[in-house]
Amino acid sequence: MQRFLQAFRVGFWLGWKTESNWTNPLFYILWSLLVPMSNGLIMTMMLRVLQRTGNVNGADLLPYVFIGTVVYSIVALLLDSMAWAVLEDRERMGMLKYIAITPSSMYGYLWGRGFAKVSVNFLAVPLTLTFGALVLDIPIQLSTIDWPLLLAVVVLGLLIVTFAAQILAGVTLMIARHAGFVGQAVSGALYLFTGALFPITVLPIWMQTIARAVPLTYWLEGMRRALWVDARNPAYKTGLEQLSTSNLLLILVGAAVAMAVISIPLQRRAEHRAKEKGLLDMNTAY
Amino acid sequence: MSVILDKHTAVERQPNPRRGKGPSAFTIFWRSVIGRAYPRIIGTQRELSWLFFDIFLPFMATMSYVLVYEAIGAPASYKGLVLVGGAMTAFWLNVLWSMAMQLYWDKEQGNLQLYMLAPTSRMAILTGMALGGLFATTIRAAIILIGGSLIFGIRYQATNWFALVGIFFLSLIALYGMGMLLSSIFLVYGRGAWQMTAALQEPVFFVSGFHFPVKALGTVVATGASVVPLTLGLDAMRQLLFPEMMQQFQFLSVGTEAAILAGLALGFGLVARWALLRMERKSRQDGRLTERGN
Amino acid sequence: MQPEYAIRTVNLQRTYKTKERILKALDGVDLAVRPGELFGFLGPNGAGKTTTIKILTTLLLPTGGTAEVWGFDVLHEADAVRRHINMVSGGESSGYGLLTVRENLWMFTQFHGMDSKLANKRIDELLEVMGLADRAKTRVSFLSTGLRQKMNYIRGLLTDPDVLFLDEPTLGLDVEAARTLRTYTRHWLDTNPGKTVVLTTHYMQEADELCDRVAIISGGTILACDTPTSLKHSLQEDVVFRLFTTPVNPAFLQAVEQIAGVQSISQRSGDQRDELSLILRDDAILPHVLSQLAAHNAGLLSLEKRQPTLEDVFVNLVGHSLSESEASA
Repeated sequence: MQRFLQAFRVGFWLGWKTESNWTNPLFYILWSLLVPMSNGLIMTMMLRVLQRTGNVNGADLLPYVFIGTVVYSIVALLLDSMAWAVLEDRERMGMLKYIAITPSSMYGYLWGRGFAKVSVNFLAVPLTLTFGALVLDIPIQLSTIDWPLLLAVVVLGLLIVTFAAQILAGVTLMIARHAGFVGQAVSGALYLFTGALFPITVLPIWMQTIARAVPLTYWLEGMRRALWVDARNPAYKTGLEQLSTSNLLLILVGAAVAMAVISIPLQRRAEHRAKEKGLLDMNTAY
Repeated sequence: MSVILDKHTAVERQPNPRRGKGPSAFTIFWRSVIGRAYPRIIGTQRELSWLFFDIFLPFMATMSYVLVYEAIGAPASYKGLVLVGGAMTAFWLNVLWSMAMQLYWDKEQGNLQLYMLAPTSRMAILTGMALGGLFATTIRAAIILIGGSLIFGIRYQATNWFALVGIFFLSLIALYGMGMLLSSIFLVYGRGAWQMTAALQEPVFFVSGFHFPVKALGTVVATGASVVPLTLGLDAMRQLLFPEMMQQFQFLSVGTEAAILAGLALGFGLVARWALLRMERKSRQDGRLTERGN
Repeated sequence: MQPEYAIRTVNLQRTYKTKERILKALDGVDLAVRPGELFGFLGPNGAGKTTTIKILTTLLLPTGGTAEVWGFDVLHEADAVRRHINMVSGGESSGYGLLTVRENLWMFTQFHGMDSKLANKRIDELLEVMGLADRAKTRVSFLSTGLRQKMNYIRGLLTDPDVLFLDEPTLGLDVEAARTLRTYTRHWLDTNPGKTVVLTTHYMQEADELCDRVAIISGGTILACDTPTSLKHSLQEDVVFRLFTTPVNPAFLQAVEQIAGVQSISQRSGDQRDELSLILRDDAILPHVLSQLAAHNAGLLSLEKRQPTLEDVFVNLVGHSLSESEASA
């Protein structure tokens, strides 16, 4: 545990240095707002375009979609962070092999890199939600936020996504660097199964079954319930409305444990395989 | 201490008939294009994991956006416009990450200095990267478009295929010209510019209207966003593919958009050439061509 | 037609400005290298060797003076210079890992506009010469450091440059591979009259064995430039001794430096013994040195009078040995 924490500290320090030292803090906050703000605005515009035609009214869906996309941006960020650290350290800095030969923990180091990235961007999410509440009439009010639930869901969500990111980092250890970003691709694809952009009831039954097996579906439901009072009302159909909040939290706890159980051996296996095949210092640019 | 030197200090410019040694500049250009495109094409065959991460997963992401319209029962043509935007996303990402960032990455790996001391043009290297990257990108765009159209039953009402193909290629030429410009900016400003460009990815999706008609953003924003060639390219292609629906969302006429795109293609080409020369000079001045980790 | 000089620099200067200070990397370097020469640069880290090569290969602009390669100005005629040069750096990691050795080499020839048929023919020949023929289809990412360096060396020769810059080319190579590379470089020059090689190296023996002329550079200035034989002859009037002693302390070295007639002394520490290289004006000074040895409680293990080497020339000019300057760098 001590080795993990020490490696985490170094990874966090390095991540913080490389992520935040290229500009001044104020500009950085504005910069970090761009991604969640754009995602939120894209969804807003998609729905408003339809409202203008008078054909369909998407207003009901706006808070659902806005909250979903904005909080999901942190998932995309964290999912990509460790995989990117693997690629950067392996191919750009040539550092990965040196980390691998130290007695410290590679997971600790990667967790540190991931959390550094999330930390420097974390403020952007509440700021974008505030923007949504003030400018786009997204019904989020400080007085109606369920703070204990929010805290619990955020912590559990971060754990689940971090373990998932660890699996992706393991996969990245064994594959080449391609044009796209592995984490972004996975988080983008998970849009389809997590109900980030639309209630999962829109999906065909077999896809709904997959969606119900993805922990992020419950995490997004939890975030909506914590932030938005209407989402706590079973009358608002999300596909998970019948699930009580306590059961939802239990599922998230179980998912966090399951992800830990799955991801740690997978990452170890990937690391072993990378060493076996001599991939820790490969250069795969093309 | 006496310095033993062969004493020839006067520098005189002498006519040198070997100035033209080797192949013509044109030959070097096109061979360089092929040379740099080759790794891009062959690389995709060596590591098939890109099929999953660069094609299958982005396909699913695009389907999610289409399902937003499905969720509220929007007409099929609206899903079509998201699909066209999703397909063109591939080209924007290719320009951003496989072209603009690649030159910076090449510097970090020590390839840039070898490009620089070769008698080739930097435009040739970047063109090679672009053409090589188009292989994978076009497959991704085609799969999103064809797969999505089949799944959601989207019908296109195109009557002028010639114009459609023309707009598509004009958009790409202008877009890749922009990519060349970005790559020189990346090199001069290093990691900061990279972070900035990373942050441009989603904002450009928004202001260029990848998921909705750009006119919805108002004339001022749409005009400003037109500096990204895909803004007008997408609008024109949507007008040609969904003429009925786009009647109320048309930003500019297809002809006007084609003319502006041609101007952008020319403009970006010229500015990129100027910027690359300037970048090379500045980098040589500051000693950055071989400097890593900034 | 060959130009009169393969390389010529006049008062070449390069200054790096940082927030904290201004660093003079080159301070008035004058060079004249004729076609057909194998010209070496010897100097400690930070002496200005690589900066000079970067300027000559058009990767860096000088801040003063002029430089010409194959008759073309590196500042105003960079494109023309590039048609005549190539470069290999020690420890470079260029190329694309997913490509094979052959594909990587072919790719780089294309940036010089070479015909593919000719390029492939030369690739085959050089792979054979460098003992890499059986690795032609191996992906670059799976090559060892040494094999990768061999591939880089082949890349440098493939385009048949008029001036080939070799910046520490044997770095990371085993003894045999380094010898192959040195032998082939000499062979290439002998069989291609007029071709020029500029070599920077840390290895004195390499420079001594290979170079037609050597420039010793330190602090951005050329201290001496001549054939290795002439450089060694410059010490002919002096006498050179090698002493093995029990470990000596810095006070002893300082005391010896104070003795009139001691040109230089350098120390290499070993296991329980030190190796001292002494350059003296004449034999009569040796007893003074030995008495200092006794005065500082050090014992003499062996003493040998020998011919001057390039290392002695270096020590005499720079004030310390190459290994000492690296240790302090």
